[in-house]
Amino acid sequence: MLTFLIRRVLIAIVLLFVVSVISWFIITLTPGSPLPWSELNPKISQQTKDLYRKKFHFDKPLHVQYFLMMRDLIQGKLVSNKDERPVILKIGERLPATLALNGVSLILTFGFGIPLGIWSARYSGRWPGTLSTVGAFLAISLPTFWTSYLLCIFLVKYVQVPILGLRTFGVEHTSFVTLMLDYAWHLFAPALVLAVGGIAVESRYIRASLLEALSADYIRTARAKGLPEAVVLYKHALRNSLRPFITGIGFLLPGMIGGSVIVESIFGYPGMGRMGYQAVLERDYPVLITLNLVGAALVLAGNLLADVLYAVVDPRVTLE
Amino acid sequence: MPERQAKRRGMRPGGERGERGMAGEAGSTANTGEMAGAPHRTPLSDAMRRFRRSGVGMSAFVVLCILFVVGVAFFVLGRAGVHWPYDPNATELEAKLKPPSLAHPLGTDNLGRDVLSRILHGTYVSLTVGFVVVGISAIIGTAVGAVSGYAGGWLDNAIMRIVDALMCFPSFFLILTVIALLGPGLWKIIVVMGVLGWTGTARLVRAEFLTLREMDYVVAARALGQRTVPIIFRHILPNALAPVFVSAVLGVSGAILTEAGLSYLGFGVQPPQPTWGNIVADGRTYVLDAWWLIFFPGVAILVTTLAFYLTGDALRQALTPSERKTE
Repeated sequence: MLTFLIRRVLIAIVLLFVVSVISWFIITLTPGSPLPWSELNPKISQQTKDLYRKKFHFDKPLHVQYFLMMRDLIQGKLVSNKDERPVILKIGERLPATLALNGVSLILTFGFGIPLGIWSARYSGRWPGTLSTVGAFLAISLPTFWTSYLLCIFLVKYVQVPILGLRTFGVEHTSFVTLMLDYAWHLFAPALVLAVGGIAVESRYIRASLLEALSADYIRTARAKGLPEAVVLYKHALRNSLRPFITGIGFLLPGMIGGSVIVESIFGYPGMGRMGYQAVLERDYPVLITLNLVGAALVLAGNLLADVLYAVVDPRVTLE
Repeated sequence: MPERQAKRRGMRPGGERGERGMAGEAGSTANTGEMAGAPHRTPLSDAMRRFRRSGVGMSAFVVLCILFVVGVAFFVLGRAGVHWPYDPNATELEAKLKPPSLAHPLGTDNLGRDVLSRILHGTYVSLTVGFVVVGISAIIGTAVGAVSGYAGGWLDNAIMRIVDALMCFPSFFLILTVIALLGPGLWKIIVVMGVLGWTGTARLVRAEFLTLREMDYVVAARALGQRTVPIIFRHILPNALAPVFVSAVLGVSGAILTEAGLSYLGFGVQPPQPTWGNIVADGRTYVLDAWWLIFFPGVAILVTTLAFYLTGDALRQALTPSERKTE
């Protein structure tokens, strides 16, 4: 167990190094300048530009830039090109909102995905099974910006609840209950949009592994014993098909950055996805590199977490 | 988008075991056990027959054919200067933001352009992106996976570590970063998505090669003195292509959705060229006044991606008979 963890962490460090080099190449070799002003802007003196370049090390050769940036990143001193605030601090500010959004989205994903998967496995081969297959693909095919806007239109016109941002303006002076309800509404809409695809994927996973379990010998035995179908399904089969649950948890972590760029932009939600989008627009190299690295670290952490959990729940799986 | 990524991994066609659908030189007459009458049944013709029998898959395939014809027809019409039903870029300011009517079945946008014409003339963009992106990534992925799986050893190890590193990136965010820094444009998007999207195919092909290279017919070919390149391309590859084909068809949907997302964020094909994503992007300011600007292009994207997913899923079931019981 310990050697497994140590080996995986060492591999992860090597991979993160490769990721940092690749991101650095992609970001610096593409045309364009990180300076906040146009090169031709006559109001900015050459001296100012040189000072800016010197300050953020853009006057040095590329490999030196890379090492300086990585040194600052590891020491936690890396600052944004745009507002000169530490990148760690900027990400830390966004983290609670991101965690809340993805947490609610995860609850929705499992809350709907698992029952749907059970239902479609149970009626596999009959019309409800076909319906659920088509339904799952339909949900995966939904463009997130489209569902976001339709949900916006629906909520604003018919339900009339606030949705944009994190809280309604001026709500700070109301009671605790109003505050919480307000927060819940702001969280619910983007989380639902984010969860739709996940629900479909999760239900497909559950369905596939449940179907596999249902064709096993011990299920035939359970049925032959005369156990009620509900006990066979929920106690015998379902317990042995919960791997997708773990896979889903493993995928949650990496989703926190890339998955929510569009949804967070539409709902004005202050999470890490929107921060990445803004950093792309502003060519904020330190933030971009850090976010790519954090994203890669989350993918690796998610995979590792899933592998460890598999071994925890299933005694047949051993960590080699 | 992680859910897309998850889906790609989860719904990976299960061609690992059982018969292979594509007829290569080997094994094409191996499963003749249930042969009844038909003189020339091959695994491929069996798969075609199974595909034709699946109702959902065939309907989706028909939809795809219609979309393809529409895409090509309106591309040719646009190039020929024939504007039907309207010129997609002709503005008519006195008829701006009109709801759907007989004159404009899907309404008009903020400049009075006909939404139906814009959607029809934007069809080829989505289809081109989908097919070319998947084509590029399938070719790179197949080549890399074939070399890696056949060679084995340190080369395999090195290639797979690079694949691992590329798979670590948050994919949509990486594509967004590259496109934003390179500047928008149809061909830039296609190349970036294609070049960044081959890792899944490479893993798939490598896994196929790892099992296939141990097969007797490969050993026989080697014993007969065949050189490595013909063994890889003539003997093994045809037997490894079925899962690649299925994942490519499913991958078209993902590419179309990603392109629509990029177009929506303003990094896609630039106006005035209409695409499904940028019609929505243009309409977002009027989201509460003109629902048709958002709704109809979204339906077009939805129908197209759904058709590709369902066709791909039916193909997967047709090409991997061992999985048919779970349909």
